[in-house]
Amino acid sequence: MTFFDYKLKFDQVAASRGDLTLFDGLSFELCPGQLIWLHGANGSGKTTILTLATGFRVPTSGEVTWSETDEFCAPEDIVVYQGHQDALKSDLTVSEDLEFWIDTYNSEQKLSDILSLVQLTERRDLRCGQLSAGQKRRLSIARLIISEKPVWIMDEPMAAIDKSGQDLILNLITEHVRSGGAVLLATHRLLRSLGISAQSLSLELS
Amino acid sequence: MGDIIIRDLKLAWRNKFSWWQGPFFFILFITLCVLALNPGGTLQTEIAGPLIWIGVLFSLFLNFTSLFQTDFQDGTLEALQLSGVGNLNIVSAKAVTFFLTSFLPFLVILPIAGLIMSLSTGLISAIGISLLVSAPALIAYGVLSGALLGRMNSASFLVILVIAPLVIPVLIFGTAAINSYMMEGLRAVEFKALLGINLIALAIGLPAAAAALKANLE
Amino acid sequence: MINYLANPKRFLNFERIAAPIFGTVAALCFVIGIWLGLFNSPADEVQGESVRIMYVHVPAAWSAMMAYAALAIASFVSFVWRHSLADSAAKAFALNGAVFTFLALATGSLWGKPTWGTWWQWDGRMTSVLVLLFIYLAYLCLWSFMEDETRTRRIAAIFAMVGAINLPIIKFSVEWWNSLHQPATISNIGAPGLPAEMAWPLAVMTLAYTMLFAWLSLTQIKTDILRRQAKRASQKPASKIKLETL
Repeated sequence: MTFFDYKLKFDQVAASRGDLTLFDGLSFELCPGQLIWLHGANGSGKTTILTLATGFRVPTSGEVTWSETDEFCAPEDIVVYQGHQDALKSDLTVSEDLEFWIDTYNSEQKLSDILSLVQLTERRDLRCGQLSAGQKRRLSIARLIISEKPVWIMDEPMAAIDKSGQDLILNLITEHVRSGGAVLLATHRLLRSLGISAQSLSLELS
Repeated sequence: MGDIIIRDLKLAWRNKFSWWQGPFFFILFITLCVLALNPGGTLQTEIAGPLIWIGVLFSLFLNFTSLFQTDFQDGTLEALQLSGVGNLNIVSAKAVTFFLTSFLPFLVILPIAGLIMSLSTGLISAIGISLLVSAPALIAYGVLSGALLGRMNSASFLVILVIAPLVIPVLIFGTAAINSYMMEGLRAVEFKALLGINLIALAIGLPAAAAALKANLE
Repeated sequence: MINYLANPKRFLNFERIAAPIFGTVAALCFVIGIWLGLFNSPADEVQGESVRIMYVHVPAAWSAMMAYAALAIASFVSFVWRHSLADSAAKAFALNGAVFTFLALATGSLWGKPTWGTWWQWDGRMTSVLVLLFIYLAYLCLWSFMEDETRTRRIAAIFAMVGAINLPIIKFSVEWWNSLHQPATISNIGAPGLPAEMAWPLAVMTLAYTMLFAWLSLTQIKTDILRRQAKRASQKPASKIKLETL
């Protein structure tokens, strides 16, 4: 898959929870082939940064912009989001879930390709509710691939997953970045020597 | 939008209990009313229509709470938000599935309620028609209240407070339409009023529900 | 005007000067209005002395509706421009509006007994004003039940704007339903129907209610602003951000 040139840009962004300021003056750019690793204590504002990047939330000051080939665009044109939850329906089968997202995103991806990519081919007819936590997470990452959007915004994709499951997920992420995608990733796991261009963005409670 | 409707119908089909919760509550309500009103008395025919209306309304109110709750909790709405489907389509799809899975069952079991209260066929069909004609407004306001309170954990009480003032005109004209239908059929002036109420409810309720979905993701 | 007052500091300055004025004018108008209404206006030919309830009832009903219009406008401002002052205003308008609506219903009921022989009649006007009270209460409940302030603001604003469809229903209900409730006597100033001796106390009482509403709202908004400022002053400093290449 090839992506156009695109950019997610934070410019002097401040955000607050209720009346309390979480952070101020946050500036960064997320460009093709880049990963930004977001980490810090609970309550420091990581999820807030992610929801700003998806456009769900509006900054109290500063600006978040999305652009494609140097023209501003809507967040849904380039961004796809994986939140704390997997966005799965436990009563649907794996392939039904994927087919739904393929139709919804008007995706050109093939079901069988996606299934083998996230290593769920044998489980395609199981109900989502019967999958393990790691399998559920991979299935929900399959949705990101299906969307064919370049920027993945991910909130703790490796939480409550065993070591080998984490590695599978990390592989999918680095693979996406290598093929020209970009990832804004919040995780408690230490990230080192991924073999891709990566930046660390840390939030410290003071 | 079609995809969402099909998926929600599939989910409702697999989780069969969800279809019959409301109607079961409704039948219980009617049974209790009849028992309280001295079974066999003549009083029932006059107040049957309003009683059935109240029973349906409150069963619907209980359902509206959960309309968006699972979709908020499992992250589906966050995912759909960035899929380009559009919130107005999402709430419209919800309105359609709600009508099919949670409103039609009431019309299906209405004859049973008629049997319990020993009502004439003419009266029970008039009640059915008054409910069916009022469905768009009831569901539009219901979708709105569900979208407003979808992120709340204990919303079932608040949902009634929010929706009740909005549906009072529907209740007034809907129950009045029962008798008018028996006398004049669909030409009765109440049906014109209900048509107007439906249009206003759809034009205001659905866009407001779409805005509420977005607000709840902040 | 709204733009100018949108700044909390300027609002507080405005409040410091305006609130005492509004409060004094309200108190004066109540004294004058009640004196005019009780001792210096004629009894009605049909209704007798009970017509004097009009001077507390009609202005209450007007203020109740005016308060909702103000609530809807404040909610719109809050929804579009996300201004926190508009939320403070909306909350104050809703609380005072609910009180005035209750007052209108209560005085109306007191007036209904001697003139119509019933405390309550389910006609269009009374039903729709009761609905107005329910909407106010549901709005206030939304604020008190919700957990997250950012979301609550927007949810409450949407609900308040939707509830505004009740205003035209109240306005036209007397014409749509033929009922006991008398149509508004004052359609424009100088119109026949209400003699000047009755129009004067009504006008003074209306001014009194409006000023009371303004005074109450201003002080409540001020309290809310100060509460927010105190909360902000006591907050921990914002998170420190560090960006580096891995």
